Amino acid sequence: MTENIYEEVLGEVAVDLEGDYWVAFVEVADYLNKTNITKRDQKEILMDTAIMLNEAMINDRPVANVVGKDISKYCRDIIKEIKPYMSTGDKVKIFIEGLLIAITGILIYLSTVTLLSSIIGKGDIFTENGSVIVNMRLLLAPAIGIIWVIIYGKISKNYKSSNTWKKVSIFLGLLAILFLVSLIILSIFENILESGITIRPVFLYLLNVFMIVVTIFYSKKLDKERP
Amino acid sequence: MSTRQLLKGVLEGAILGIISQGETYGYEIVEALHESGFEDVVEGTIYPILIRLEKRGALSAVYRKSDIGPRRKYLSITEEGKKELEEFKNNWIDLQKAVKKSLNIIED
Repeated sequence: MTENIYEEVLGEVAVDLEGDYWVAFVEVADYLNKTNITKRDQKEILMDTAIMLNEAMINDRPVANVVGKDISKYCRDIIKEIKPYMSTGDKVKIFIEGLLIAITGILIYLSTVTLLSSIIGKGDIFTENGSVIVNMRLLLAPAIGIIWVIIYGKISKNYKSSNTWKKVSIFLGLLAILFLVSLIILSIFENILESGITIRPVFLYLLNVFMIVVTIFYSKKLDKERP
Repeated sequence: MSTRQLLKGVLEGAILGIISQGETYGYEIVEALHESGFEDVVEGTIYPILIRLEKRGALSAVYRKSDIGPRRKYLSITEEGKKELEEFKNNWIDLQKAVKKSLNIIED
């Protein structure tokens, strides 16, 4: 959020914050800017925070009376109250974003496996008695999952503003989806190959690139809506 | 229910009670709570509760210039809020009776 927006909010409530009170206000503004609550809600919280900080400053009360000792906790406590009242449209958008990430992650995994198979030769995932062989292809799933989550973390404000536990759960959930769905799809894929239908990997790669572009585009679009 | 959750619920009722007495604003609510005996309550504690009550439709808010210059957010109770307050009062009386009975506290 730019300084112009700080000034706009402070101007609207006619307050002039100084020192620690100003620092706390900027920190709250920066934190909210990285969250997925609506612009209207962000502005309301900022205006209210500015008013409370101003009253505290005038009456010589500590900044901690308003924002506590941990500003991120202050923001999270408020956001927690606002989230249940998010519109269905906003919830749907976030759901679609998650779905796109999962599909793209799976496609990246499949493409990598297909590409590696064509380079280093085909290897079996299951032995004849059904036990799993931990080979390169299986180890690749978590590796690809980590890379995709890191890339997504760089581009999405929604992810950046999530707390640690949410990040861990998104990460583990994504890995689980990648792992299980990939195994299922790969086993179907191999059956199809055995039955003699040829699937050209180039379509998989093209679809993959397309999905990466769509996911990044969608995420950036949502970020613009969450100023 | 944890002590924190219980306190949050009680504070919500107390805040509704204070606002039901007339239009007011954040710091005035904190002062009223202090006078009532909630000595540790600060602005940061009540703000998430106020936001929740506002979003739920129990409170209505309007920004207006204060006597000292800067704008303030003035809060009033809505019809919905009045119903919630009545419900809170009834629940509180029942809870108080139950606790008193459990602790064997005899009223004067």
